[in-house]
Amino acid sequence: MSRSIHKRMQELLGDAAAPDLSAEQLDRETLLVYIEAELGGRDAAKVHPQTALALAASALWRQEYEALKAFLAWEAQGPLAQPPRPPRFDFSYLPAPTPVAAPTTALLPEPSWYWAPLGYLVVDLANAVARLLQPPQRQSAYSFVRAGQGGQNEVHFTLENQLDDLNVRLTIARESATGDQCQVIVEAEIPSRGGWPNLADTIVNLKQADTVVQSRLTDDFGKVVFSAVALTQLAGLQVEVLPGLPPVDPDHQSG
Amino acid sequence: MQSSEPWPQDNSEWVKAMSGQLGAERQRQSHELLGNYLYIVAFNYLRLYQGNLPLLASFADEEWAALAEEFVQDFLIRLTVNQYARLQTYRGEGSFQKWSAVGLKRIIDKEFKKKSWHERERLDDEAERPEFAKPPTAIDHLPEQLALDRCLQHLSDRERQIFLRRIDHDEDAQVVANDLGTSANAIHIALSRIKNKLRRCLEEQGIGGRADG
Repeated sequence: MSRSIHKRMQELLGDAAAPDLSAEQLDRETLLVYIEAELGGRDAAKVHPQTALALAASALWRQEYEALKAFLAWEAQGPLAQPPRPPRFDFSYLPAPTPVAAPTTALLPEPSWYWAPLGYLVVDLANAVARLLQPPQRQSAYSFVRAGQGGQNEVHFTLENQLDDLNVRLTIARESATGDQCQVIVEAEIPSRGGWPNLADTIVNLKQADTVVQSRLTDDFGKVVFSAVALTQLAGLQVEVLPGLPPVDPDHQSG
Repeated sequence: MQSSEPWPQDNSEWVKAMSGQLGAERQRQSHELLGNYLYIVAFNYLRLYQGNLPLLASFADEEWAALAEEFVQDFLIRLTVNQYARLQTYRGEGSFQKWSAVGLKRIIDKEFKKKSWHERERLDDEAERPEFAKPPTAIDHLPEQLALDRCLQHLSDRERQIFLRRIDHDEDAQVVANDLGTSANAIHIALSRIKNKLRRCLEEQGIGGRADG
């Protein structure tokens, strides 16, 4: 038991016995300033003589200096390669925005949704259009929690902890500030699968009336993107998320 | 990857925005801007690091990206814990972005010194590697154990299985991957994410604290 908890805590919190540089007459920000001066072509030892002296006196800090200088020079020389996809950070550790003053008009309704008896989620996008065309003024806390709203060009809705083993994040983003088309991005997370890369192959349909107009399978991250969706059509669209059902072929749909 | 949000004008504005002094919306924007920048740095640093860590050499771009994301997420959270204690150590003398990049590098370097990243070398010279320091007695770790047990309950069954098999039982990532129907690299990335979750949970219970980094 003791050995097990020791191993766990060492993995989580690190090794307390690591060399401690903080007791010396230098710190990393001072070192950073020194190296930035050097990389900027200045005579760092002349501008920061105390740092030069401290470096000369400590082998440990000289080692740190060499490593940091190599890292900062590498980072500055660029251009760095672009990762294959944008990051998706979880900002839930930040405090929620403070609600703004009471609205003078009625709150816009959130998109409605329901869980169909055959075992899939249906989200009606009608209200999303109204949100997309309104300035960002209000906060609300319905079953659909709005995670953020980037002006008039993008709206987000998150359905979390409402369904058994399915969380859905929906983003509707204009493809340009004045454009008449948008992207509908759906991220379907099935917690029991344990996250990436096990979130592939959930079917997501974009439907108009009872007809599937586009159908996609989620990628390893649980994400699908429907592009070039006309804003004028958005009000009549529904998103269906079908975990565990076979793909639908739009060509075989009636209507 | 590009954001339309305005970048803070100077180091002082960075700190104010990051610590929420300019409002919650600006705080989220600044965390996102910094995160996007650090994500690219981390992604490239991991590619560079593969020369030092054989296990990383088998990673694909997508896997480096997922790992980079985890490291940056960890760094961003560290900046906020204990009332932004880590952020308050920044004096505004060096560039804030570079200061952050250096902090991120430290997190990555420290993580890669841990035992679970040296599986292949360990298999090669298991007998020659120094054993763990003698663990303290059970009573020394009782509060941590209770807290960690609570945190483990918040993981999914799959996550708990990955953590316990890799950390407690030193099982090879490939073996765990085979059982769970995924790749060894996915297990390494999942373990990083799980450790982040557990660290955050422990901090919420007053254990650990990620001020160092």
